[in-house]
Amino acid sequence: MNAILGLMRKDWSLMKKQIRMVAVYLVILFVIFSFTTDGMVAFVPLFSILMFLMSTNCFAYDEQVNFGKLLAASPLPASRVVLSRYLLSLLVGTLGGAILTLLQLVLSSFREPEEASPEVPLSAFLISAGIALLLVSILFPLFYKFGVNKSRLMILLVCAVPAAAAALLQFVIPETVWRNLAVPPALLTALPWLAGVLLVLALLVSMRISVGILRRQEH
Amino acid sequence: MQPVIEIENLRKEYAGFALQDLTLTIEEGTITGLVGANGAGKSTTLKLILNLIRRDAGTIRVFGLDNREREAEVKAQIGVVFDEPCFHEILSPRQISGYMGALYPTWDPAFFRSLLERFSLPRDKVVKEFSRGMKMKLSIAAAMAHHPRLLLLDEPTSGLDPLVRDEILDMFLDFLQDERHSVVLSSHITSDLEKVADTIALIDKGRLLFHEEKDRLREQYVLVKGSTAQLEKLDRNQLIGVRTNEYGFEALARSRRQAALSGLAVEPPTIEDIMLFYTRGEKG
Repeated sequence: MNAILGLMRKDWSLMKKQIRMVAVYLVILFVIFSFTTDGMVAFVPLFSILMFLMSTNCFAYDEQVNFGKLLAASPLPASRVVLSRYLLSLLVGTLGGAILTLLQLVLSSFREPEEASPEVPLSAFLISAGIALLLVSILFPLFYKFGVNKSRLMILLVCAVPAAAAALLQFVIPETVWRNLAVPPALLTALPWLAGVLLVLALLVSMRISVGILRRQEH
Repeated sequence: MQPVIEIENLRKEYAGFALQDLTLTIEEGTITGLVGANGAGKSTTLKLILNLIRRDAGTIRVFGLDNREREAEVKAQIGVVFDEPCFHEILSPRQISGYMGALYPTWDPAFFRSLLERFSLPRDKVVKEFSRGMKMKLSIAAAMAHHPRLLLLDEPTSGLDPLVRDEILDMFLDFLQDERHSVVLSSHITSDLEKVADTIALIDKGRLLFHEEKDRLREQYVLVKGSTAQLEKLDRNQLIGVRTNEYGFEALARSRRQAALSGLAVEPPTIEDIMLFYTRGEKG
Protein backbone atom coordinates (compact mmCIF):
# COMPACT_ATOMS: atom_id res chain seq x y z
CA MET A 1 0.00 0.00 0.00
CA ASN A 2 2.89 2.37 0.80
CA ALA A 3 4.21 1.82 -2.70
CA ILE A 4 0.87 2.72 -4.27
CA LEU A 5 0.53 5.83 -2.10
CA GLY A 6 4.12 6.85 -2.92
CA LEU A 7 3.44 6.68 -6.66
CA MET A 8 0.14 8.53 -6.26
CA ARG A 9 2.01 11.26 -4.32
CA LYS A 10 4.49 11.49 -7.19
CA ASP A 11 1.70 11.86 -9.76
CA TRP A 12 -0.05 14.38 -7.54
CA SER A 13 3.18 16.45 -7.39
CA LEU A 14 3.33 16.34 -11.19
CA MET A 15 -0.31 17.38 -11.53
CA LYS A 16 -0.24 20.16 -8.92
CA LYS A 17 0.71 22.92 -11.34
CA GLN A 18 -2.00 21.96 -13.80
CA ILE A 19 -4.59 21.55 -11.09
CA ARG A 20 -3.87 25.12 -10.00
CA MET A 21 -4.41 26.34 -13.57
CA VAL A 22 -7.57 24.29 -13.95
CA ALA A 23 -8.84 25.64 -10.62
CA VAL A 24 -8.43 29.21 -11.91
CA TYR A 25 -10.35 28.40 -15.12
CA LEU A 26 -12.93 26.58 -13.04
CA VAL A 27 -13.58 29.61 -10.83
CA ILE A 28 -13.91 31.93 -13.84
CA LEU A 29 -16.19 29.61 -15.79
CA PHE A 30 -18.16 28.76 -12.65
CA VAL A 31 -18.91 32.44 -12.16
CA ILE A 32 -19.93 32.85 -15.83
CA PHE A 33 -22.07 29.71 -15.98
CA SER A 34 -23.63 30.25 -12.59
CA PHE A 35 -25.89 32.95 -14.03
CA THR A 36 -27.93 30.28 -15.80
CA THR A 37 -29.15 26.96 -14.46
CA ASP A 38 -28.75 25.37 -17.91
CA GLY A 39 -25.15 26.52 -18.04
CA MET A 40 -24.37 24.85 -14.73
CA VAL A 41 -26.04 21.62 -15.79
CA ALA A 42 -23.62 21.40 -18.75
CA PHE A 43 -20.61 22.80 -16.92
CA VAL A 44 -20.46 20.40 -13.98
CA PRO A 45 -20.48 17.12 -15.95
CA LEU A 46 -17.89 18.44 -18.44
CA PHE A 47 -15.49 19.45 -15.73
CA SER A 48 -16.13 16.26 -13.80
CA ILE A 49 -14.94 14.30 -16.83
CA LEU A 50 -11.93 16.61 -17.06
CA MET A 51 -11.03 15.89 -13.43
CA PHE A 52 -11.11 12.12 -14.02
CA LEU A 53 -8.83 12.55 -17.04
CA MET A 54 -6.32 14.89 -15.31
CA SER A 55 -4.05 11.98 -14.44
CA THR A 56 -3.48 11.28 -18.15
CA ASN A 57 -0.95 14.13 -18.03
CA CYS A 58 1.19 11.94 -15.76
CA PHE A 59 1.69 9.54 -18.66
CA ALA A 60 3.20 12.38 -20.67
CA TYR A 61 5.46 13.46 -17.81
CA ASP A 62 6.70 9.91 -17.30
CA GLU A 63 7.30 9.44 -21.01
CA GLN A 64 9.31 12.65 -21.22
CA VAL A 65 11.97 11.32 -18.83
CA ASN A 66 11.66 7.61 -19.63
CA PHE A 67 10.47 6.99 -16.08
CA GLY A 68 9.14 3.60 -17.16
CA LYS A 69 12.74 2.39 -17.43
CA LEU A 70 13.43 3.34 -13.81
CA LEU A 71 10.22 1.59 -12.73
CA ALA A 72 11.13 -1.53 -14.73
CA ALA A 73 14.60 -1.63 -13.13
CA SER A 74 13.04 -1.50 -9.64
CA PRO A 75 11.51 -4.43 -7.74
CA LEU A 76 8.04 -2.83 -7.79
CA PRO A 77 5.49 -5.10 -9.50
CA ALA A 78 3.67 -3.79 -12.58
CA SER A 79 0.31 -4.36 -10.89
CA ARG A 80 1.05 -1.72 -8.23
CA VAL A 81 2.26 0.76 -10.82
CA VAL A 82 -0.98 0.37 -12.76
CA LEU A 83 -3.24 0.35 -9.71
CA SER A 84 -1.75 3.61 -8.42
CA ARG A 85 -2.56 5.39 -11.70
CA TYR A 86 -6.15 4.14 -11.88
CA LEU A 87 -6.73 4.92 -8.20
CA LEU A 88 -5.43 8.44 -8.66
CA SER A 89 -7.78 9.02 -11.56
CA LEU A 90 -10.67 7.73 -9.46
CA LEU A 91 -9.70 9.84 -6.47
CA VAL A 92 -9.13 13.13 -8.34
CA GLY A 93 -12.22 12.63 -10.47
CA THR A 94 -14.47 11.74 -7.55
CA LEU A 95 -13.20 14.55 -5.32
CA GLY A 96 -13.27 17.13 -8.09
CA GLY A 97 -16.69 16.09 -9.33
CA ALA A 98 -18.08 15.93 -5.82
CA ILE A 99 -16.85 19.46 -5.03
CA LEU A 100 -18.36 20.80 -8.26
CA THR A 101 -21.65 19.03 -7.63
CA LEU A 102 -21.77 20.40 -4.09
CA LEU A 103 -21.11 23.93 -5.35
CA GLN A 104 -23.88 23.55 -7.89
CA LEU A 105 -26.26 22.38 -5.17
CA VAL A 106 -25.35 25.32 -2.95
CA LEU A 107 -25.84 27.75 -5.82
CA SER A 108 -29.20 26.35 -6.85
CA SER A 109 -30.39 26.36 -3.23
CA PHE A 110 -29.78 30.15 -3.22
CA ARG A 111 -31.18 30.83 -6.67
CA GLU A 112 -34.22 28.55 -6.70
CA PRO A 113 -34.60 27.32 -3.11
CA GLU A 114 -38.06 25.83 -3.70
CA GLU A 115 -36.85 23.77 -6.69
CA ALA A 116 -33.38 22.83 -5.34
CA SER A 117 -32.99 19.08 -5.32
CA PRO A 118 -29.87 16.93 -5.18
CA GLU A 119 -31.21 14.42 -7.71
CA VAL A 120 -30.36 16.24 -10.93
CA PRO A 121 -26.81 17.33 -10.08
CA LEU A 122 -26.07 13.97 -8.47
CA SER A 123 -27.38 12.08 -11.49
CA ALA A 124 -25.36 14.37 -13.78
CA PHE A 125 -22.25 13.69 -11.71
CA LEU A 126 -22.77 9.92 -11.74
CA ILE A 127 -23.36 9.84 -15.50
CA SER A 128 -20.29 12.00 -16.17
CA ALA A 129 -18.24 9.83 -13.79
CA GLY A 130 -19.40 6.77 -15.69
CA ILE A 131 -18.44 8.29 -19.04
CA ALA A 132 -15.07 9.41 -17.69
CA LEU A 133 -14.26 6.01 -16.19
CA LEU A 134 -15.23 4.34 -19.46
CA LEU A 135 -12.80 6.66 -21.24
CA VAL A 136 -10.14 5.84 -18.64
CA SER A 137 -10.61 2.10 -19.16
CA ILE A 138 -10.12 2.57 -22.93
CA LEU A 139 -7.37 5.19 -22.85
CA PHE A 140 -5.02 3.96 -20.13
CA PRO A 141 -4.08 0.67 -21.86
CA LEU A 142 -3.52 2.66 -25.07
CA PHE A 143 -1.20 5.04 -23.23
CA TYR A 144 0.75 2.16 -21.71
CA LYS A 145 1.05 0.43 -25.06
CA PHE A 146 1.68 3.31 -27.47
CA GLY A 147 2.60 6.29 -25.28
CA VAL A 148 0.71 9.57 -25.15
CA ASN A 149 2.01 11.03 -28.42
CA LYS A 150 1.11 8.05 -30.57
CA SER A 151 -2.21 7.63 -28.77
CA ARG A 152 -3.45 11.13 -29.64
CA LEU A 153 -5.13 10.02 -32.85
CA MET A 154 -6.67 7.09 -31.01
CA ILE A 155 -7.98 9.49 -28.34
CA LEU A 156 -9.76 11.47 -31.06
CA LEU A 157 -11.27 8.28 -32.46
CA VAL A 158 -12.35 7.05 -29.02
CA CYS A 159 -14.20 10.31 -28.40
CA ALA A 160 -15.33 11.18 -31.92
CA VAL A 161 -16.51 7.79 -33.20
CA PRO A 162 -19.18 7.16 -30.54
CA ALA A 163 -20.37 10.77 -30.85
CA ALA A 164 -20.53 10.51 -34.65
CA ALA A 165 -22.25 7.13 -34.45
CA ALA A 166 -24.86 8.51 -32.06
CA ALA A 167 -25.48 11.48 -34.39
CA LEU A 168 -25.74 9.22 -37.45
CA LEU A 169 -28.19 6.89 -35.73
CA GLN A 170 -30.68 9.73 -35.63
CA PHE A 171 -30.67 9.87 -39.43
CA VAL A 172 -30.51 6.15 -40.05
CA ILE A 173 -33.25 5.09 -37.63
CA PRO A 174 -36.62 6.81 -38.27
CA GLU A 175 -38.05 8.98 -35.52
CA THR A 176 -41.13 6.79 -35.23
CA VAL A 177 -38.97 3.89 -34.15
CA TRP A 178 -37.45 6.01 -31.36
CA ARG A 179 -40.92 7.16 -30.24
CA ASN A 180 -42.33 3.65 -30.17
CA LEU A 181 -39.29 2.20 -28.42
CA ALA A 182 -40.70 0.77 -25.22
CA VAL A 183 -38.17 0.04 -22.60
CA PRO A 184 -39.55 -2.22 -19.89
CA PRO A 185 -39.79 -0.28 -16.60
CA ALA A 186 -37.86 -3.01 -14.78
CA LEU A 187 -34.97 -2.55 -17.20
CA LEU A 188 -35.08 1.20 -16.75
CA THR A 189 -34.80 0.79 -12.99
CA ALA A 190 -32.03 -1.77 -13.29
CA LEU A 191 -30.10 0.20 -15.92
CA PRO A 192 -28.02 2.37 -13.55
CA TRP A 193 -27.00 -0.68 -11.52
CA LEU A 194 -26.25 -2.67 -14.67
CA ALA A 195 -24.18 0.22 -16.02
CA GLY A 196 -22.28 0.37 -12.73
CA VAL A 197 -21.46 -3.34 -12.82
CA LEU A 198 -20.39 -3.15 -16.47
CA LEU A 199 -18.23 -0.14 -15.68
CA VAL A 200 -16.48 -1.93 -12.81
CA LEU A 201 -15.89 -4.91 -15.11
CA ALA A 202 -14.53 -2.61 -17.83
CA LEU A 203 -12.12 -1.04 -15.33
CA LEU A 204 -10.92 -4.41 -14.06
CA VAL A 205 -10.36 -5.72 -17.60
CA SER A 206 -8.60 -2.47 -18.50
CA MET A 207 -6.29 -2.78 -15.50
CA ARG A 208 -5.51 -6.38 -16.35
CA ILE A 209 -4.61 -5.38 -19.91
CA SER A 210 -2.46 -2.50 -18.67
CA VAL A 211 -0.55 -4.79 -16.29
CA GLY A 212 0.06 -7.26 -19.11
CA ILE A 213 1.34 -4.50 -21.39
CA LEU A 214 3.67 -3.14 -18.72
CA ARG A 215 5.08 -6.59 -17.91
CA ARG A 216 5.91 -7.28 -21.55
CA GLN A 217 7.39 -3.87 -22.22
CA GLU A 218 11.08 -3.66 -23.12
CA HIS A 219 13.31 -0.65 -22.50
CA MET B 1 35.14 -14.16 -3.37
CA GLN B 2 31.91 -15.46 -4.75
CA PRO B 3 30.36 -14.45 -8.04
CA VAL B 4 27.85 -11.63 -7.98
CA ILE B 5 26.90 -11.99 -11.67
CA GLU B 6 27.11 -15.22 -13.65
CA ILE B 7 26.24 -15.00 -17.32
CA GLU B 8 26.31 -18.09 -19.50
CA ASN B 9 25.87 -18.29 -23.26
CA LEU B 10 23.80 -15.13 -23.33
CA ARG B 11 22.26 -14.35 -26.66
CA LYS B 12 20.15 -11.47 -27.88
CA GLU B 13 19.42 -10.70 -31.50
CA TYR B 14 18.28 -7.51 -33.15
CA ALA B 15 18.15 -6.69 -36.83
CA GLY B 16 21.77 -5.96 -37.70
CA PHE B 17 23.25 -6.83 -34.28
CA ALA B 18 23.54 -9.87 -32.09
CA LEU B 19 24.98 -10.46 -28.64
CA GLN B 20 26.54 -13.84 -29.17
CA ASP B 21 27.07 -16.51 -26.52
CA LEU B 22 28.35 -14.10 -23.91
CA THR B 23 29.80 -15.88 -20.90
CA LEU B 24 31.01 -13.68 -18.09
CA THR B 25 31.47 -14.04 -14.33
CA ILE B 26 31.86 -10.99 -12.12
CA GLU B 27 33.22 -11.47 -8.63
CA GLU B 28 31.86 -9.82 -5.52
CA GLY B 29 33.82 -6.89 -4.13
CA THR B 30 35.14 -5.70 -7.50
CA ILE B 31 34.67 -2.85 -9.93
CA THR B 32 34.29 -4.21 -13.43
CA GLY B 33 34.56 -1.95 -16.43
CA LEU B 34 32.64 -2.92 -19.55
CA VAL B 35 34.41 -1.32 -22.49
CA GLY B 36 33.75 -1.29 -26.17
CA ALA B 37 32.79 0.95 -29.04
CA ASN B 38 29.33 2.46 -29.37
CA GLY B 39 26.93 -0.30 -30.33
CA ALA B 40 29.26 -3.07 -29.13
CA GLY B 41 26.68 -4.54 -26.74
CA LYS B 42 27.59 -3.01 -23.36
CA SER B 43 24.19 -1.42 -22.68
CA THR B 44 22.44 -4.50 -24.06
CA THR B 45 24.32 -6.64 -21.55
CA LEU B 46 23.35 -4.37 -18.65
CA LYS B 47 19.70 -4.32 -19.78
CA LEU B 48 19.66 -8.10 -19.99
CA ILE B 49 21.02 -8.36 -16.44
CA LEU B 50 18.19 -6.06 -15.32
CA ASN B 51 15.64 -7.96 -17.43
CA LEU B 52 14.68 -4.72 -19.19
CA ILE B 53 14.84 -6.69 -22.44
CA ARG B 54 14.13 -10.37 -23.00
CA ARG B 55 17.05 -12.65 -23.75
CA ASP B 56 16.87 -15.11 -26.63
CA ALA B 57 19.07 -17.72 -24.94
CA GLY B 58 21.39 -18.24 -22.01
CA THR B 59 21.18 -17.77 -18.27
CA ILE B 60 21.88 -14.92 -15.91
CA ARG B 61 22.27 -15.34 -12.19
CA VAL B 62 22.71 -12.39 -9.85
CA PHE B 63 23.61 -13.07 -6.19
CA GLY B 64 23.11 -16.74 -7.09
CA LEU B 65 19.48 -16.11 -8.09
CA ASP B 66 17.96 -16.44 -11.55
CA ASN B 67 17.28 -12.87 -12.64
CA ARG B 68 13.91 -13.79 -14.18
CA GLU B 69 12.48 -16.23 -11.64
CA ARG B 70 13.57 -14.15 -8.64
CA GLU B 71 13.33 -10.82 -10.41
CA ALA B 72 12.02 -8.68 -7.54
CA GLU B 73 14.57 -10.05 -5.05
CA VAL B 74 17.41 -9.43 -7.46
CA LYS B 75 16.31 -5.91 -8.40
CA ALA B 76 15.82 -4.92 -4.76
CA GLN B 77 19.58 -5.30 -4.31
CA ILE B 78 20.67 -3.47 -7.44
CA GLY B 79 21.18 0.26 -7.78
CA VAL B 80 20.92 1.47 -11.36
CA VAL B 81 22.23 4.56 -13.10
CA PHE B 82 21.28 5.02 -16.74
CA ASP B 83 23.13 7.21 -19.22
CA GLU B 84 20.27 9.73 -19.06
CA PRO B 85 18.64 10.55 -15.70
CA CYS B 86 15.04 9.40 -15.41
CA PHE B 87 13.81 12.03 -12.97
CA HIS B 88 10.97 14.44 -13.67
CA GLU B 89 12.39 17.89 -14.22
CA ILE B 90 9.67 19.68 -12.27
CA LEU B 91 10.35 17.70 -9.11
CA SER B 92 13.00 18.36 -6.47
CA PRO B 93 15.27 15.78 -4.78
CA ARG B 94 13.01 16.00 -1.71
CA GLN B 95 9.99 15.01 -3.82
CA ILE B 96 12.02 12.33 -5.60
CA SER B 97 12.94 10.83 -2.23
CA GLY B 98 9.21 10.76 -1.48
CA TYR B 99 8.46 8.28 -4.26
CA MET B 100 11.73 6.34 -4.39
CA GLY B 101 10.59 4.74 -1.15
CA ALA B 102 7.69 3.34 -3.15
CA LEU B 103 10.10 1.69 -5.59
CA TYR B 104 12.59 0.24 -3.08
CA PRO B 105 11.53 -1.22 0.29
CA THR B 106 14.99 -0.50 1.78
CA TRP B 107 15.02 3.16 0.70
CA ASP B 108 16.79 5.25 3.35
CA PRO B 109 15.72 8.92 3.20
CA ALA B 110 18.32 9.97 5.80
CA PHE B 111 21.13 8.33 3.81
CA PHE B 112 19.81 9.97 0.63
CA ARG B 113 19.94 13.36 2.39
CA SER B 114 23.52 12.72 3.49
CA LEU B 115 24.49 11.78 -0.08
CA LEU B 116 22.88 14.97 -1.38
CA GLU B 117 24.93 16.95 1.13
CA ARG B 118 28.10 15.12 0.16
CA PHE B 119 27.43 15.91 -3.51
CA SER B 120 26.41 19.49 -2.62
CA LEU B 121 23.02 19.04 -4.26
CA PRO B 122 20.17 21.31 -3.11
CA ARG B 123 17.18 19.38 -1.76
CA ASP B 124 14.47 21.79 -2.82
CA LYS B 125 15.62 22.94 -6.23
CA VAL B 126 13.82 21.37 -9.20
CA VAL B 127 15.86 19.01 -11.37
CA LYS B 128 15.32 21.29 -14.40
CA GLU B 129 17.73 23.75 -12.82
CA PHE B 130 20.47 21.16 -12.31
CA SER B 131 23.52 20.93 -14.55
CA ARG B 132 24.29 17.63 -16.29
CA GLY B 133 26.86 16.79 -13.64
CA MET B 134 24.39 17.51 -10.85
CA LYS B 135 21.74 15.32 -12.50
CA MET B 136 24.21 12.43 -12.75
CA LYS B 137 25.23 12.86 -9.09
CA LEU B 138 21.54 12.85 -8.17
CA SER B 139 21.08 9.60 -10.12
CA ILE B 140 24.02 8.04 -8.28
CA ALA B 141 22.73 9.23 -4.90
CA ALA B 142 19.31 7.73 -5.70
CA ALA B 143 20.92 4.47 -6.83
CA MET B 144 22.91 4.15 -3.59
CA ALA B 145 20.31 5.32 -1.10
CA HIS B 146 18.46 2.01 -0.86
CA HIS B 147 21.69 0.22 0.27
CA PRO B 148 22.13 -2.01 -2.79
CA ARG B 149 24.80 -4.70 -3.00
CA LEU B 150 25.43 -4.09 -6.68
CA LEU B 151 25.63 -0.89 -8.70
CA LEU B 152 25.04 -1.09 -12.45
CA LEU B 153 25.98 2.07 -14.29
CA ASP B 154 25.63 2.79 -17.98
CA GLU B 155 28.05 5.51 -19.06
CA PRO B 156 27.82 7.39 -15.74
CA THR B 157 30.64 9.82 -16.46
CA SER B 158 29.88 10.56 -20.09
CA GLY B 159 29.78 14.29 -20.84
CA LEU B 160 31.01 15.29 -17.39
CA ASP B 161 33.99 17.48 -16.54
CA PRO B 162 37.09 15.90 -14.92
CA LEU B 163 36.28 17.29 -11.44
CA VAL B 164 32.81 15.79 -11.37
CA ARG B 165 34.06 12.51 -12.84
CA ASP B 166 36.70 12.29 -10.13
CA GLU B 167 34.08 12.93 -7.44
CA ILE B 168 31.86 10.20 -8.84
CA LEU B 169 34.71 7.70 -9.14
CA ASP B 170 35.62 8.36 -5.49
CA MET B 171 32.05 7.46 -4.55
CA PHE B 172 32.46 4.08 -6.22
CA LEU B 173 35.66 3.40 -4.30
CA ASP B 174 33.88 4.33 -1.06
CA PHE B 175 30.99 2.06 -2.02
CA LEU B 176 33.43 -0.82 -2.27
CA GLN B 177 34.64 -0.35 1.31
CA ASP B 178 32.02 -3.01 2.03
CA GLU B 179 33.44 -6.19 0.50
CA ARG B 180 29.97 -7.46 -0.29
CA HIS B 181 29.43 -4.56 -2.67
CA SER B 182 30.24 -4.65 -6.36
CA VAL B 183 30.16 -2.19 -9.26
CA VAL B 184 29.74 -2.81 -12.96
CA LEU B 185 30.08 0.22 -15.15
CA SER B 186 30.07 0.53 -18.87
CA SER B 187 32.17 3.33 -20.23
CA HIS B 188 34.20 4.38 -23.19
CA ILE B 189 36.14 6.84 -21.04
CA THR B 190 38.87 4.33 -20.40
CA SER B 191 40.92 6.75 -18.28
CA ASP B 192 38.17 6.51 -15.63
CA LEU B 193 38.44 2.73 -15.66
CA GLU B 194 42.23 2.98 -15.36
CA LYS B 195 41.64 4.77 -12.05
CA VAL B 196 39.05 2.55 -10.41
CA ALA B 197 38.42 -0.73 -12.23
CA ASP B 198 39.67 -4.05 -10.92
CA THR B 199 38.74 -5.99 -14.03
CA ILE B 200 38.04 -5.02 -17.63
CA ALA B 201 35.67 -6.80 -19.99
CA LEU B 202 35.97 -5.83 -23.65
CA ILE B 203 32.90 -6.34 -25.82
CA ASP B 204 33.10 -5.86 -29.56
CA LYS B 205 30.28 -6.47 -32.05
CA GLY B 206 28.37 -8.54 -29.54
CA ARG B 207 31.27 -10.76 -28.52
CA LEU B 208 33.28 -10.79 -25.31
CA LEU B 209 36.91 -10.51 -26.40
CA PHE B 210 38.37 -10.77 -22.92
CA HIS B 211 37.62 -10.33 -19.23
CA GLU B 212 40.82 -9.79 -17.33
CA GLU B 213 42.27 -8.09 -14.26
CA LYS B 214 43.38 -4.58 -15.17
CA ASP B 215 46.86 -4.96 -13.67
CA ARG B 216 47.39 -8.28 -15.40
CA LEU B 217 46.41 -6.72 -18.73
CA ARG B 218 49.16 -4.14 -18.30
CA GLU B 219 51.68 -6.83 -17.39
CA GLN B 220 50.57 -9.22 -20.10
CA TYR B 221 50.65 -6.82 -23.00
CA VAL B 222 53.17 -4.32 -24.25
CA LEU B 223 52.98 -1.51 -26.78
CA VAL B 224 55.72 -1.79 -29.36
CA LYS B 225 56.86 0.87 -31.80
CA GLY B 226 59.41 0.77 -34.57
CA SER B 227 60.13 0.97 -38.26
CA THR B 228 58.42 -1.12 -40.92
CA ALA B 229 61.62 -3.11 -41.38
CA GLN B 230 61.69 -3.99 -37.68
CA LEU B 231 58.10 -5.21 -37.90
CA GLU B 232 59.29 -8.03 -40.16
CA LYS B 233 61.47 -9.40 -37.36
CA LEU B 234 58.57 -9.79 -34.94
CA ASP B 235 56.66 -13.02 -34.42
CA ARG B 236 53.27 -12.02 -35.78
CA ASN B 237 51.54 -14.70 -33.73
CA GLN B 238 52.49 -12.73 -30.63
CA LEU B 239 50.84 -9.56 -31.92
CA ILE B 240 47.21 -8.78 -31.06
CA GLY B 241 47.02 -5.94 -33.56
CA VAL B 242 49.22 -3.75 -35.70
CA ARG B 243 48.84 -0.20 -36.98
CA THR B 244 51.17 0.98 -39.72
CA ASN B 245 51.79 4.37 -41.22
CA GLU B 246 54.42 5.91 -43.45
CA TYR B 247 56.83 6.28 -40.50
CA GLY B 248 56.61 2.82 -39.06
CA PHE B 249 54.29 0.74 -36.93
CA GLU B 250 52.65 0.44 -33.56
CA ALA B 251 51.65 -2.96 -32.27
CA LEU B 252 50.22 -4.58 -29.19
CA ALA B 253 52.32 -7.59 -28.31
CA ARG B 254 51.37 -10.45 -26.02
CA SER B 255 54.85 -10.96 -24.65
CA ARG B 256 57.17 -8.32 -23.24
CA ARG B 257 60.15 -10.58 -23.60
CA GLN B 258 59.72 -11.11 -27.30
CA ALA B 259 59.55 -7.40 -28.09
CA ALA B 260 62.51 -6.56 -25.87
CA LEU B 261 64.70 -9.10 -27.69
CA SER B 262 64.04 -7.29 -30.92
CA GLY B 263 65.42 -4.08 -29.35
CA LEU B 264 62.28 -2.10 -30.04
CA ALA B 265 60.79 0.76 -28.08
CA VAL B 266 58.28 -0.67 -25.64
CA GLU B 267 55.91 0.88 -23.17
CA PRO B 268 53.00 -0.31 -21.03
CA PRO B 269 49.70 0.00 -22.89
CA THR B 270 46.68 1.84 -21.59
CA ILE B 271 43.27 0.20 -21.58
CA GLU B 272 42.41 2.37 -24.53
CA ASP B 273 45.43 1.03 -26.45
CA ILE B 274 44.40 -2.55 -25.69
CA MET B 275 40.82 -1.84 -26.71
CA LEU B 276 41.83 -0.15 -29.97
CA PHE B 277 44.29 -2.83 -31.00
CA TYR B 278 41.86 -5.61 -30.25
CA THR B 279 39.08 -3.98 -32.22
CA ARG B 280 40.73 -1.87 -34.89
CA GLY B 281 44.30 -3.02 -35.42
CA GLU B 282 45.19 -5.30 -38.29
CA LYS B 283 45.53 -8.77 -36.96
CA GLY B 284 49.07 -9.94 -36.20
